[in-house]
Amino acid sequence: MQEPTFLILTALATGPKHGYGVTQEVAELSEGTVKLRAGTLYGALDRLVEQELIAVDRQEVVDGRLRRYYRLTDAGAGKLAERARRLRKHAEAAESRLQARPNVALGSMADPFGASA
Amino acid sequence: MTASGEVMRELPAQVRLERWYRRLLWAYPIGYRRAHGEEILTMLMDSADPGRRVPARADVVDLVRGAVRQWFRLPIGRTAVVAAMLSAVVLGAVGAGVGSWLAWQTAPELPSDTAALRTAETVAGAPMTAPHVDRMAGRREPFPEAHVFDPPHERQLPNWTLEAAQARLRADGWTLGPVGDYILKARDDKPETHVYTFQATRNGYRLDAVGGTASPGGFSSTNVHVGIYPVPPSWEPGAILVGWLAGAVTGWLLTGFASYRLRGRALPRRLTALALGVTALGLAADSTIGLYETLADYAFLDPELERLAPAYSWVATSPATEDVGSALAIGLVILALAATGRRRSKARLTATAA
Repeated sequence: MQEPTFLILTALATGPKHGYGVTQEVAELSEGTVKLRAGTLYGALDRLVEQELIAVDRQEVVDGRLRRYYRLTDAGAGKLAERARRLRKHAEAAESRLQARPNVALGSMADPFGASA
Repeated sequence: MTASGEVMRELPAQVRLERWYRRLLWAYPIGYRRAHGEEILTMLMDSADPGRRVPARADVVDLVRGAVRQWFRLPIGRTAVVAAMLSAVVLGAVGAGVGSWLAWQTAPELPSDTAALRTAETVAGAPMTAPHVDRMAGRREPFPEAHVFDPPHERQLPNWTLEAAQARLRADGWTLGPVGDYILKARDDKPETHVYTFQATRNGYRLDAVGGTASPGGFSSTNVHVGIYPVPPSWEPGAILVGWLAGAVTGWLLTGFASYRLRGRALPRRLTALALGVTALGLAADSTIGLYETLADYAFLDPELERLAPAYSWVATSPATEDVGSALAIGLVILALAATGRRRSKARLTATAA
């Protein structure tokens, strides 16, 4: 699962949203680093509908404009939860290994030529 | 400024922007546009900066990219991907063959029997006693060629030399090409023969000549064979490439269409389509493989030394025509199976090109 897909599913976890709502939520979740445009977003939404990870919840016409709301399906929630678990596990593994990392940089700065006093 | 220009300037920015977006949405397949066009437009208008009159370049690029992706999109699963790739390979070969055939339509016609015999006699340096003019076009031969030879007989062309034959051709306006020679050892009742091969070109024709000189009983005798054929049109490779691209893209798109449509059909219909697809593939396999081998020969062999069959011979000569034609007819039946009949009841919002 790629990052935009993960973020789209996450954006829909709190409730149904229309396309523009999803992009705003994704921008917020990613702290502005992922900005989904219409062509990319609807390609991804359509694929997720095909995979039955999301579904069309309802549609409304406001000021003559069609808004279709998408919701996370149970299969989508399960997939998102599994992905989140894996990411958390990987993040924990990375953090624990970083803590166990010997401070090579400092050591070499203290004694750049390997000579003992 | 024109009147229409003034009207356009007066239109609110939002209206102009919406028109731009609607035009851009035409890049999408019609089925997808019907299903999602309006909601995409809503999002585009929601996210547009206030006062914007034309779409941002990033939005244009994103929409066009999304449209291209949508056109080439396939249903989830390996079957559709494999089917689309095979269709692209087979229809690409057919397109390349058609491109080659179209290019060859601009090649000069084979020379008349009289003209071919005159050229052969220029090579021989003397009238041929009982010349045979064999035309290898329009039959099962892939090579369009006029072949002239005099059946071997005693004391044939006693004073023939390669140099003199080349001088006569040069005087007749031919440009000389590569020359080769080898010795054919004596076998059975045939004496040892020194074989000369040489080429020449003139006005879109290439000439391949073979002179076999033997000296039975101390008397020199030479038998000459001359083949004349059109030089492959210089734009044939370009036509092959364009034809291949058109065929491959068509194959992919049609498979995408059929895959999405068949997904909503009953199992017997899908199994029938699969069986027909495998049959079509079997029918087209020989021509397809042959054509790609010929294209590889074009790329790796020296056309000066190797006479290569035109690529179209794998598609436009018998029996390939019948096989490829049958495979294409079966392809049409598959499309008809996909396009007709009732869909299964489970309706889904998907991005079909249908």
